[in-house]
Amino acid sequence: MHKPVLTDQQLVEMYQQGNENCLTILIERHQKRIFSAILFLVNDRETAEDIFQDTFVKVINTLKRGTYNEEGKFLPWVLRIGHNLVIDHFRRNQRMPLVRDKEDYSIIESLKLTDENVQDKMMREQIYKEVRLLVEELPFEQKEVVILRHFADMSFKEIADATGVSINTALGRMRYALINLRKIVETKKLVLVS
Amino acid sequence: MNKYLPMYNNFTHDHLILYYFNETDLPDTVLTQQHIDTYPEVEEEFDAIVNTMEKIENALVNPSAESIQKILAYSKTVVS
Repeated sequence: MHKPVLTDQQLVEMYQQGNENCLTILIERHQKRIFSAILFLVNDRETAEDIFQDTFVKVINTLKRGTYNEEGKFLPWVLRIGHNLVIDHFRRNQRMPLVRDKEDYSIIESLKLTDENVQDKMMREQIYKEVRLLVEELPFEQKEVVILRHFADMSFKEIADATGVSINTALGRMRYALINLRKIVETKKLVLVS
Repeated sequence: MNKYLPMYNNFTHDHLILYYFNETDLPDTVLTQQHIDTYPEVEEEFDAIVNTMEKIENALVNPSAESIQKILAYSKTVVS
């Protein structure tokens, strides 16, 4: 017999009524997308763990205060919080990644420069290597638009508003992210586990 | 990959991106689907978008168990 699956909204409401298990279910359901989105942006496991925790501190506080009003859009809401905390993190450390919108920016050249680091990184877990090689090498603003569009389900108009650029620029960043990801896959001959 | 697919007037990769993310209006949805169905080069470009996004999905990772435990512990300290 099929067990009915609770929606995010139902879990949020039950959590707000005091059922702590519902938060566990929500985290289990979405942890991979939320954590990976943060990790893609910051390129550092430890920082990503911290920001992931801080994201849920804000989520918990908002839900328990009863001020959550994103009915039906739990995951995009959490991802937007995570994205904002990533931006705060870079601002706080005054290390905002350089924005490169030049169409001739070469991801291949960038990869060559980091070859030595790639050697060291091979010591780490295989799955992290795959993540890094796929997304980490992208310029920040390209990763940002991929994450906000694909993971947070924001429209290009919403992304344009949130990042202070035109829709065409947001679309262009997505286009170059896709170009660069394809180049990375071809250059590195990546074979990812399906 | 240029913005414009030169052999098809006014049809760009942006059409394919917007179509993939369900952001095309009805006329552009029809136009894009027709191009994908008609031109193998366009279908190949669209498949490349789909495959790239699938690769990102396959590369997702979980946070540490410690992070989850800290979050759940924090939640129990916050009163509704």
